[in-house]
Amino acid sequence: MAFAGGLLLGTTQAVLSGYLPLNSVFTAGVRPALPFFALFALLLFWPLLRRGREAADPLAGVDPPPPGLAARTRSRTMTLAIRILGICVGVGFVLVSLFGLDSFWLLLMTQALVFATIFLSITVITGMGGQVSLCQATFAAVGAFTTGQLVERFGMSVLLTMVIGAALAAAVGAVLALPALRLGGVYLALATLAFALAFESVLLPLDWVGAGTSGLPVPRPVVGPIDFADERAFFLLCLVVLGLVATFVTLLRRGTTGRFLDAIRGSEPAAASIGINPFRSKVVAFAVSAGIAGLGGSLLAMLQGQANPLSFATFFGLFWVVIVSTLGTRTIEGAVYAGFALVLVPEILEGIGVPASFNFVLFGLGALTYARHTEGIVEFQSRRIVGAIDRLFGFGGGEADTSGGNQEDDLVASDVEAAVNP
Amino acid sequence: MTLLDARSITMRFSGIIALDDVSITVDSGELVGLIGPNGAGKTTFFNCISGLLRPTSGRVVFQGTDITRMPVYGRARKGIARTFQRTELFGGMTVRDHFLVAERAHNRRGGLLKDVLNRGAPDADETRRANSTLELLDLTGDADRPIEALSLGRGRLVELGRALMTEPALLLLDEPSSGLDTQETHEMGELLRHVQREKGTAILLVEHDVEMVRRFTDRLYVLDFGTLIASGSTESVMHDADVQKAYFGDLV
Ligand SMILES: Nc1ncnc2c1ncn2[C@@H]1O[C@H](COP(=O)(O)OP(=O)(O)OP(=O)(O)O)[C@@H](O)[C@H]1O
Ligand SMILES: [Mg+2]
Repeated sequence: MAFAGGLLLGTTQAVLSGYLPLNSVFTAGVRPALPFFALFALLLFWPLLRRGREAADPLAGVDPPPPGLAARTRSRTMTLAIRILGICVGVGFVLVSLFGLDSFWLLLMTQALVFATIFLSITVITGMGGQVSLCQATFAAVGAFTTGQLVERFGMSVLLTMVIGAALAAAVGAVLALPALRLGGVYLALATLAFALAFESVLLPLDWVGAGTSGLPVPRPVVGPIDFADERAFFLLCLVVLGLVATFVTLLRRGTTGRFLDAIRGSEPAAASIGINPFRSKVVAFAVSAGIAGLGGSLLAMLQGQANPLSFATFFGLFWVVIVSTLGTRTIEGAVYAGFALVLVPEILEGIGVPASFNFVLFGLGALTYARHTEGIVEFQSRRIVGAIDRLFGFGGGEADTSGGNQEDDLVASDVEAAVNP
Repeated sequence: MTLLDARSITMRFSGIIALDDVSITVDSGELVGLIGPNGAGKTTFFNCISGLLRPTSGRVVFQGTDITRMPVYGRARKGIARTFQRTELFGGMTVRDHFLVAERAHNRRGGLLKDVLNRGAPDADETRRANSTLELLDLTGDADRPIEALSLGRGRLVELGRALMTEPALLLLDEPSSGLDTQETHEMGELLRHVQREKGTAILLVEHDVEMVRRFTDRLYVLDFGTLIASGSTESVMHDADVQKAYFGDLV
């Protein structure tokens, strides 16, 4: 089905380009954007479509519960094995990046780390908070331009301005969430999109924000003897920041904040009925998410040497949401893979000589897979693979996937039954 | 002492009057039944009391305070807990997590800073309280299973336990026995009586099972098409002619 959908998107694109006048601005804009429109329709209206069926029950307006994380349902041995493997891959990656790659690839790897950091903001707002925000690029821009302005005007230390930028982005996120959250669902997503567009066209050109389209210079930090202008040092800085943010997100997810958000995602009326203030929890999620995006945005500006409005275009931000949603919003890994995918997939496609437009077909495929497995590909596949390996070696783990629904899910579910009650 | 005093609650949905001038009181520690045919407005009444719906007119007074305009979570913190006719559980969580999150919501500890310092994990006291509720409801064996793996009957117990973790003064139960067999229904009744006696919790019970209502409630209110048609001791209401006609007509 996903394949057919991808084909359909591809064909529609081809057909459209046949009918539309060549070389017009319209064609140039519409063609590559088609998969986005398709995906956004899905992203926005999918929950609504499902909801429609149960509209008769006033309490039914809540999404079906998300399946538990794969990590929760696997056995100890498996967890240990995966952890060791993960550490090996991580250490290997760092060593190869530092000593085995030329400066072009090292730059790409650094970029992937920065985007992974930014994408963790989507893990928080969508994966934990259950909200679709379409203005993550705007929050990143707030961080980047705060850094740029403070450095330029007051000559402040770059690392300090990065923290201030994150704090300001968090504040903007909270202030935006106050009215936007009253809308909820699709309207919330649209409100964030409206905010993103307004920021881009009204605020960004102002002198004290984005200073036109040329961008603001942002230097690399210097801490004591370490000058992060050095590409290797900066790679390590980005790695540390990603590590800190990932730890922060993990702690939140395990802690009260995460548990409350889990409860609200599971059933908002029930969460409120035990004394959780859903509105407050969601505002916190928005603020934290915006703060992380702002931090990542500053880092991106440092990487590029300037805070460039083009890097934070609203359209680009939509692409971020889609790529993270496709790979998995609920895990740290999902965000990290998305960071690497964003940077590496275009390179690889170019490397093997595939025309760039195939990017969008891939993208359409990803989008359709997302529609079926809203937990994301990484999460979905890891449940399957972990479950299969567990059963193969008789580790005694397994999953309790009872989501059912379509053929493939049923298959998994019955396998699971067998694994749980042998 | 009057715990809940719902005064002249009227709830209008576009066109229908789901509740028409309904007044109900519940005293501390009482087990009161609220019965009526399908569509009578029982769930709507619960929603008005717990705050999911704001009544068109009328006032809700709880422990002497007017809570008509209070949000759901505020009422929960004041001591009103409930279960749902269509179970509303937290997907992806284990049974124990349900209890722990309710405990955390109830005593309102925690927050961003505590999470960051890794103080978010349940402490010994919370674990002990969760365990004792698990034991009370005989859910210890299922404690670490995800909620999706449980039967409807067990799910209803989890909802009850989650409500109990907030140490409510008033417990609103919306058809706790639906989906249970005779044996389970009886056990549920015994459990409610136990909770009422041991913890002094007042219970307002919406229930279709006549036997359970007869055995376990002290007083009854009867709703029909949004109006109260009878109230009084369970014994007397059950013999009331109007009630027989409206509610038990097809049964007796
Ligand atoms: N949110 C709503 N919007 C419109 N009408 C509603 C809403 N909630 C309930 N109603 C209507 O109000 C009336 C009372 O419904 P309610 O669910 O309170 O009945 P009930 O006594 O709980 O019935 P049951 O025994 O079937 O649970 C019904 O006619 C129902 O259709
Ligand atoms: Mg009902």
